[in-house]
Amino acid sequence: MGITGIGLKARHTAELLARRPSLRFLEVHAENYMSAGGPAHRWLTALREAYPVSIHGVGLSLGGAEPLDADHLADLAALVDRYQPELVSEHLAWCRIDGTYLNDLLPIPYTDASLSLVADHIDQTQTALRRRILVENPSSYTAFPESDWDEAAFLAELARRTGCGILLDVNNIHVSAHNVGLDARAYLAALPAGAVGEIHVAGHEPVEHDGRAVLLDTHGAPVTAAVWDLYRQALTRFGPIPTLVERDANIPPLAELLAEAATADGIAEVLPGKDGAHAHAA
Amino acid sequence: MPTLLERQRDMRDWVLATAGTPPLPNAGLHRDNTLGGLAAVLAAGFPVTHRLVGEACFIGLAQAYVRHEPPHEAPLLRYGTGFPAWLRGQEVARQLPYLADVARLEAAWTHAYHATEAAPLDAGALATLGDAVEDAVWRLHPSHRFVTSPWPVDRVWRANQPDAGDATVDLDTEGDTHLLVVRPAAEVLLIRLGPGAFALLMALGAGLPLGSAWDNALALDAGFNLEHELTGLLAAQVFTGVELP
Amino acid sequence: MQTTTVSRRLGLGLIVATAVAGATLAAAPAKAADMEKCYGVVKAGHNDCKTDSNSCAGHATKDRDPGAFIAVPAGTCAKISGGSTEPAKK
Repeated sequence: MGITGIGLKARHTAELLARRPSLRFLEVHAENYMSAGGPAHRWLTALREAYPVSIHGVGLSLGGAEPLDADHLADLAALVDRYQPELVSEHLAWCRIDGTYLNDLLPIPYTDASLSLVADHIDQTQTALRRRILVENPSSYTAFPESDWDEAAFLAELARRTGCGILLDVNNIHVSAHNVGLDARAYLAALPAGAVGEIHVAGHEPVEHDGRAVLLDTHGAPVTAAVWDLYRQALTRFGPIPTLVERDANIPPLAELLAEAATADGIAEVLPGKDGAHAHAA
Repeated sequence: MPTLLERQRDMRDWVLATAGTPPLPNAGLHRDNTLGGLAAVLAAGFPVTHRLVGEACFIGLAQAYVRHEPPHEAPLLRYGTGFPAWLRGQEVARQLPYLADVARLEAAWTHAYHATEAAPLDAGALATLGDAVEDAVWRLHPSHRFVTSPWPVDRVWRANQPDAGDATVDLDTEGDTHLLVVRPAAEVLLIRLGPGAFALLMALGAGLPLGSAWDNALALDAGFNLEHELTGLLAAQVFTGVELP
Repeated sequence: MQTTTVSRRLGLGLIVATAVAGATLAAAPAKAADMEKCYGVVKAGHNDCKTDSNSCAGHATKDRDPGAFIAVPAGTCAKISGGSTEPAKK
């Protein structure tokens, strides 16, 4: 058993049910299961018998300036009750204002005011779910002039105040490093070693926007060599943390995703000083 | 500096507007992603409507709808319930008069797909009721929706499934279409109903006992064959229970 | 009128019992391996976004022109004939 899981996609369900390939976990987006019934619940119920589940929310709006949507939080709690996931995560971002939902993970400035607000929202979520959640670092396309925290320090302080964990998306760090000038190595060093509970790796694509080269976090391409390199650094610092190969667009055949998951497992196995390295040498 | 609330309202206004100045560098990426993402959600929920008008037309319509009625809840499984009614008022609905009804059928399909599960009627217990079944109230599966249209929207729907081949539909060969859309198990069923069967199920769905529902069916269709229709409906497992008053 | 209704209804239990028997014969037993029937798994070639609508944590690469409103249908509506003015048998 490696450390890597994949996102559960409808088109892979039949093959997963029939073949049950070895995977550390399956991750689903919480909102896609917020229905009374339907095939998605039927297959997640069946697959849950074979795999641990990770529930990854994209719609809670932890960074929203308005109070959390109580109905949405109750739906998330019900889903967590139903599937008893090993991991539950959300984003350091906002998507809801005045009751309108924008289908995106929108950035917030890193100020003291934002910190208190997001910490309150994380507290409220962890209380409602009666468990710790992981909060994911965003992919950034812009920096706010009023930010007076750097992102890694902001996340570290959130973890310290609320006891939440961090979902470290190394592709997002890579994308943000390019787009807004983060220092990826310093970022990893600034996060507390015990707080990282899950890692995401994904693909991105270069585009031109307003005459400038931007890296877009598409989840629509294979993981690049630079991101695998950053992943190796992250594992070296944080240990063999459960890792998701995240693909939400241009979804390839299951075998290709399993091959990418095997790549991540291969990196984990040869880490210096880790159990996997000993097993390899034996 | 603007407050967080002001920042977020500015971003919302920019994303949903058709013009204006971006509130932040690269805000256009968020506008493209939000509108493109929601248009893709509508395309996934209304795949036949999408195929009928083609990609460019659909995306134009979808983005206009998103600006008219952005989502009000985070799950997008049900997003677009108002799309068929909105579509009816668009120019394209004058060119393709059946289009909004096809979209209505797709919305019913989506509802049934995500609706609550319910165990089918125990048909054995039903057979033991004898003639008392006349006064019994029959419960339809909670996923059900009726769709009625002057157009054969189910034939249009079937001709536009990915595996349908080169089937064509002639709109001029038939009249009113009554459909029952229901998901008794894993698959959504589209059941075409004659006028009698439609009257029967509408009456049962409204809580009338079988005897009265049968009268309604016969009033609309003197040749209505209850045994034949019930055989089909019971085989499809569209009922979940029968209750004596 | 009253008598026809009564005589018709006397047979209702039998009609329902016959329908139940017919329905039992008509219902094909689901095969254990028939995943489409059991789970409603997505057929090859069908769009699975219906269940993955909130997958948009990633950014779409395609820059759409949000101002463009193209109202010229150019899809499979060409496969639908007739009905250009009024529905049939109104």
